[in-house]
Amino acid sequence: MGDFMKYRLKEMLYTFSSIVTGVLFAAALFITVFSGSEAMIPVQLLWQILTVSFVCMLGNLLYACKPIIKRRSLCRILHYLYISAAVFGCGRIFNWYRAGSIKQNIFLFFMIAFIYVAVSYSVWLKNKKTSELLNRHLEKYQDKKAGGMLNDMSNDMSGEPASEK
Amino acid sequence: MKIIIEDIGPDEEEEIILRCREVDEAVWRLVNGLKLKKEKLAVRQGEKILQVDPEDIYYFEAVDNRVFLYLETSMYETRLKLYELERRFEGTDFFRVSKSVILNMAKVKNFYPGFNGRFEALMKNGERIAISRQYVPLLKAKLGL
Repeated sequence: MGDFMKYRLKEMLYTFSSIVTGVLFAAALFITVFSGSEAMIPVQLLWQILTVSFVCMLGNLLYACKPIIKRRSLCRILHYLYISAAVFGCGRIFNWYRAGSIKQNIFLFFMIAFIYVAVSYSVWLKNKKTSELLNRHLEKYQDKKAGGMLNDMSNDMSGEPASEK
Repeated sequence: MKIIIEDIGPDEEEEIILRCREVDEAVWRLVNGLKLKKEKLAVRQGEKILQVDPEDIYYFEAVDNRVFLYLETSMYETRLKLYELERRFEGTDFFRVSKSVILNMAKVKNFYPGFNGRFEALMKNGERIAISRQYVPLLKAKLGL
């Protein structure tokens, strides 16, 4: 497997696990608010959570269409609309909420917004760590260059600084 | 290691001979560094042809089948294609970060995360360059991560 595929797979898995956590939290809150803390949940709900999370994760593929969708803000809006449609659609199929209940619809709308922001922030934090690591290595890379090539080569070959020779 | 520098006459050709036990990373760095210092790039400015020192270049960008190079405050067009530039500056500080951009690592101030899992490079002249996801693993390898 190529480096890029490994990187994308890791990235997708991280996004997927973040979405699962968010959906699980939303489901727990939704059930507690609308059915009470004593409510029993079916085993299928766990599979449904995984399915919805997977469908939401596929929305990330929109960003791979950057040459088609030139504006990044438009890409983000389309992504958000896709996720809303996926959650409301899957929710209807799995009978998570009553379409006629305004309260449940509003609750779901805000939960989607909250999870979207939380997952985006979590991915951004992870990338921030990576960029900090990249910056440390960039500094070393540029220092090495500034140190002088001959001096550098001399150190590498003899293990002593050139000035001491 | 002995370093010998000889003065030569104005008509003689300059040459560098490296005598080493093996061609390791340090030797390659030296060779590529010399290559970068010696090679000037011909660019067009209207009807004029100018010579640009590669070390002054911040990045190359391909736009609508034309390739431009960006210095700190100016921009020129070059006849060379992006893949030709990539080949020409292979092993130097120039590094491809997307299908349309090759940037000079020596001119990068820092990297920072964008949204949607992308990274961006902030150049020393304040410009921002987007790094495609597919080049991130290569960038990590280039920086020794």
